[in-house]
Amino acid sequence: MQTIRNYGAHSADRAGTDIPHHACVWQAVFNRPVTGRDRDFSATPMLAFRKYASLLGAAVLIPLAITFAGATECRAAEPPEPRRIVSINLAADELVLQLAEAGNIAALSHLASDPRLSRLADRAAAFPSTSTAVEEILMLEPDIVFGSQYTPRITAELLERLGIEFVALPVATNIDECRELVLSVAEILGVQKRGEALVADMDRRFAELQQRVAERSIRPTALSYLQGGYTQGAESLLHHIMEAAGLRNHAESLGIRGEASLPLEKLILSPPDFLILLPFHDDDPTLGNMLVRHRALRQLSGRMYRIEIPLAWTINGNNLTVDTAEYLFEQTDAILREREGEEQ
Amino acid sequence: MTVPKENRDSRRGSVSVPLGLSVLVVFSAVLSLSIGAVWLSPAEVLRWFFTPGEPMGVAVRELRLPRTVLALLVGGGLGIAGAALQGYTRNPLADSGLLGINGGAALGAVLVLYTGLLRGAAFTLAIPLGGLAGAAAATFLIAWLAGKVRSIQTLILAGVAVSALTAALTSLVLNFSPNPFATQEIVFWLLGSVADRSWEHIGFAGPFIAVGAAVILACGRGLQALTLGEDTAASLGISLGRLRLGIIAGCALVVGPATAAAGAIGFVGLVVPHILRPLVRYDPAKLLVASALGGALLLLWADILVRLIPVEQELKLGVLTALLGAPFFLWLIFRLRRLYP
Repeated sequence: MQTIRNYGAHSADRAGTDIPHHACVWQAVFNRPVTGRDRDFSATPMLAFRKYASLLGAAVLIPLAITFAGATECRAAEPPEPRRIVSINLAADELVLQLAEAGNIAALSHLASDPRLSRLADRAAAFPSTSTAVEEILMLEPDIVFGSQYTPRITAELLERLGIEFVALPVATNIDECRELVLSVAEILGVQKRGEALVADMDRRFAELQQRVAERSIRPTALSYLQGGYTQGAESLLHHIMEAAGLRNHAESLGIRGEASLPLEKLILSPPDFLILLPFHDDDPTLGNMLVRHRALRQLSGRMYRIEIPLAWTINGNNLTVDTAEYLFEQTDAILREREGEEQ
Repeated sequence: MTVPKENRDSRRGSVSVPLGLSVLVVFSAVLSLSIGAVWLSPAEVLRWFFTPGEPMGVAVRELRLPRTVLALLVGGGLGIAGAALQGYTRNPLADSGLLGINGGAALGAVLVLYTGLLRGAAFTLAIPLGGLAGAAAATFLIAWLAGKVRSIQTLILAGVAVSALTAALTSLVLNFSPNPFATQEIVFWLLGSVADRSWEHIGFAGPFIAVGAAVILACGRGLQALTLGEDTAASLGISLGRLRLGIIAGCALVVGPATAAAGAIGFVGLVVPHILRPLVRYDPAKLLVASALGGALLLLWADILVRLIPVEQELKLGVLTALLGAPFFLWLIFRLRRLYP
């Protein structure tokens, strides 16, 4: 049922190619999936209006459908491959860009082409962008919309009520979840092979990295420090990236789980081997940026090595996460070798 | 011979109250330096202070000490400004927070900081100057209103309106910042904090606060004369125009840069002069020094408490001062209603 669209909300110009059998139109308009939410459907004036708008649409479309329907099969029974894909979330952008046919991408989120946030900003720039406003999404006439578990419920419910499939992607916080995320999106898009190829490449590179880490005798500590004084503790994505790069997350030993604020004094009192800074909008002055440049941190610069990773590389977990782990390993490895050379 | 006795009494109050408060401030400051992620004894604090290079030494010198000094400066500044405003308006409800001056200062600082109006060398000086400009604008507005209306309620309502407007505009500026992290900093500007501040903040706010406090102290005699009424004060040779300018300039100089360094902290200037006024025998000049010390003491303790209350994300200073100040404010309103029905 979730692939049935609300035809009333669509323009008629696609009628020639896409209008199914008139029975399906009836089904779409009147036999909409009955859920608990639908019972108070007409309670909200705006939604009641949409209901009648779709009736009106049906009145226009049904004759059209009867005229054009002859050759087209009713699609309601078997889910078709989504033709028009919209992503309203940065994490979904990266997956849709890698997995979907370029011709099927109707729009990506407005963050997708920001190189400070998106690893695939260059590729994303070629596609239209959309905000998360339902009105704007509707104009794109999508078959499927990808958001995240943090997409406001109201957006997700409204889209579903209008007959558009909405997929809320979970946030991957470890390597297994990265793998699952890529595979599940590939499955939804009907491109399992492509997904498996991406995951296989990621797994191979993680395995190689693991070998190089195993050759190293020491496991230095590292601590991430974001503007505003935040760090990523145990159970965060960066924590698992650090582990894969052969580093111990110092935030974990300070008792921090997930992303949480770390008082500067705690950092100063037990400095890690590597301080991982995640520069982001460094030139825009904020208090958070001033904190990262605090005098106290500068005075301890002799005790910790600073490494910078673009923030974009740590936000979303997917197959590209292996790039971050490799980069982190190489940066730390170069410093450790240099230090070893000095000591000898 | 009652006159000499009164003189003696008032002289005694003018020494013992500041002295007692000073002792409490010193004691509290030492405590403030001792607490943190690791508790230290005063002797250890001293030892670490002179140990270069070690993390604990850096924490004491670069984190705990600036934090403590900033709490003293900002608390003292808000206290003396509150006493000056209450004395000048002869209004027990006057407070830089309630009158919208803190909000104006925060808006000024936010405008300069987040829009990057002035970058580079002038940058660190631009933040307190922004705060100063915002505070001056709000103070002028309030002083102008105070001249127009004699009603306590009208003045406070005007302050409420100014506060609401500046808070909204502060949020607006932060939302316009290209840096998405900026919106998280609204909390700092509306509630204030001295956590993780550095000597740079003291460097840019301290001199202004000191000058402002000196200007306010110089107005002490004028405030004393003003208790007898404006006409009498004028006949005693007090220039009302100069007094007014002194209060406006002094409050703006103190509150603007203090807010630029520590955010808008409310209620200190309301509560402290009230508690101390009977102790200095209702003398508005003596109340100035006492309120500076009392404000420093109050903010120091608020900052000690935010570090002791075990919550995941450290509380902002303004949360504690509001928890104390808001009920006090309500009590004050009801008491005033009883006194002047």
